[in-house]
Amino acid sequence: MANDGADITLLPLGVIERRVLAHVAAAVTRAFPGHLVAVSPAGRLPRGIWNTARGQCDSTRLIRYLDRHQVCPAGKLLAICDTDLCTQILTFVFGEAEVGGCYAVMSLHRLRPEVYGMPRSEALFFDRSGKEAIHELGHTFGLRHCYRYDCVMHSSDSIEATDLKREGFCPRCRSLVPRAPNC
Amino acid sequence: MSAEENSSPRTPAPTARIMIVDDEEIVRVSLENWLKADGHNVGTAPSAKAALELLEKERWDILLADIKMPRISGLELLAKVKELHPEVQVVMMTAYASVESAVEAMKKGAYDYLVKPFEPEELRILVQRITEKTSLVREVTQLRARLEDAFGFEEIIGDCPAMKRIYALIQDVAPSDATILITGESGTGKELIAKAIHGHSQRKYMPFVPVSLAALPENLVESELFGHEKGAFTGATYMRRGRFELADGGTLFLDEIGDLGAKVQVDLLRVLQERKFTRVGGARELEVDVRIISATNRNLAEMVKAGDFRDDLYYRLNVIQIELPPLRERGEDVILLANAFLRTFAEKTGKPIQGFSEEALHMIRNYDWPGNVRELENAVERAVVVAKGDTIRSNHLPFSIRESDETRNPVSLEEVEKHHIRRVLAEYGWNISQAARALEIDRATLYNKIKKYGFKEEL
Repeated sequence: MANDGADITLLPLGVIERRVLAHVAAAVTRAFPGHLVAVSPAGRLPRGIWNTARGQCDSTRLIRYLDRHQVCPAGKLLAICDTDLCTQILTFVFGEAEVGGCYAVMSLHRLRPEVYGMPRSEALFFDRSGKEAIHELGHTFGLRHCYRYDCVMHSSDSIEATDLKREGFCPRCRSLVPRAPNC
Repeated sequence: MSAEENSSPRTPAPTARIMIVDDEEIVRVSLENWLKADGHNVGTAPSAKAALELLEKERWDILLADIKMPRISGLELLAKVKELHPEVQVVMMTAYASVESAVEAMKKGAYDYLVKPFEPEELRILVQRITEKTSLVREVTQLRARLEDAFGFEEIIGDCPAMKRIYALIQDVAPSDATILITGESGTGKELIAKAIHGHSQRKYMPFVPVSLAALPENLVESELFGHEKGAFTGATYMRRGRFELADGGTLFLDEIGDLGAKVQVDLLRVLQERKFTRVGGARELEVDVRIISATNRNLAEMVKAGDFRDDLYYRLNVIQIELPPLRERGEDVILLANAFLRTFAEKTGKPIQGFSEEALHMIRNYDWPGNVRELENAVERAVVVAKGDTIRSNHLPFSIRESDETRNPVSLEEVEKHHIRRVLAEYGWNISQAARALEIDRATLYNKIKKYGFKEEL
């Protein structure tokens, strides 16, 4: 399913607007210079990850599914869906990742201003999407949460915290991102 | 301060070692991912039994445990953890929320209680709160350990029966607030004993304030002890707190109490009786909660008889008396102490000195040490400074010790006997039967010798 040869693969699950994917790919390329970023053809959300009682998808189960099916045999893979994500013990998550692993998932659902009763803003939505993608992929490169509120690796428990972040890494986190092999 | 500055910590939050105990694998994995991202060291256990095994193997700060688990429940695990590893903070999780189980968990010592599913922020704040608390507790524990080192028995070296009796006495009397009088010759380590009493008391985390009354000019003793108000006397430009105020809640060690003048004796008696005093030049009465330990090398009872020391003050100070033996009566302690000082000074000076020569040890054993432990310490320090090789030889010891050894050699048989009996008695803690057996004489003969040489058993 994943693109052969890419260091970082973005995998849309379900219908994801192309323009969002393009924006996320550009943001990820900027954040991880030298790494080859590719957008894979869209896949479907697996059935077993639904929590019907809560009307959400279980992000941990999704990661396990991707891992079990070896969706990306090499490099990093970020699955992007538009469905709200949660875990069995957390009411929601913007995304989840294996720290130092291969797989990460993110949801666009709670990044839309309108779900908070705010006016639609494509720019803000794109901005948040790029930050969340970089954040989750940062985890797969072994980065932990950063205490600097403006670093993209700062933890977000609310959308306001996401908005406070910049799209880039702070100098310390930047230094921890492994360089691409061809850099 | 801007909202941004206000919304973010300036320093990294402390991280913790967190164990997740849940029979559902998906819960363990998702929590592990979540907590790892926050920088914590995370371990997982599928059952209470596995958790207890992990707790035995490694140190953990926080345990996140599900209440409903097969075989051993989360509540049973909580009780075990509190019993075996009370330092671990336990947070209970459950999807089966009920007030009863929450109350029970809290009663059994859980730090908090989470109902699944919970908000991500709720978990992060809770973990942060615990890690901040545990890192604070660890700092306090380390500080306490350091305090115990400084005020324990570690600094007192001595294995002779008299010293062992003193250690036991300290442990008995330290927890009470009784006033203690420590007597003994100069250099016997009275301040160390006072510190050990403080260190074993309930007041050990409060100040230990020593004051040497002999070192203070008489006109300053009052001000030193009770403080003074601004303008109380010429030169008193600012208000100054006295040692009593500094020691509030702790212990005040009054060294050389026999040197206290008549006027201050009255003031001190009043503080002991009423726990109240006024600063010099002040009108306001101040209340203090201070334990008094005093020390002297003088015979206070004789001073009372001579009218030089108030009898009412003497009885107040002398609720419990600890008499320290002179070094010459502490048997082989002199060698223990000499070796301990040698290690300290060799380390300090960086010299590779390993020990004493036989002759040097003989001199150390046979010298009378009128200046007691302090004199021995000074002698070893001097010897370490002048020694060149890896051994302290007799010629490295101070002249007074060498001279004493030379003049002591041609002593009479009676003197040798007296010296030997006194040493054996001290060695066996005045156990007459054991001492007589060691001397190979009967008990009656030993009693006669004790009477003849006028020996008295000392604590």
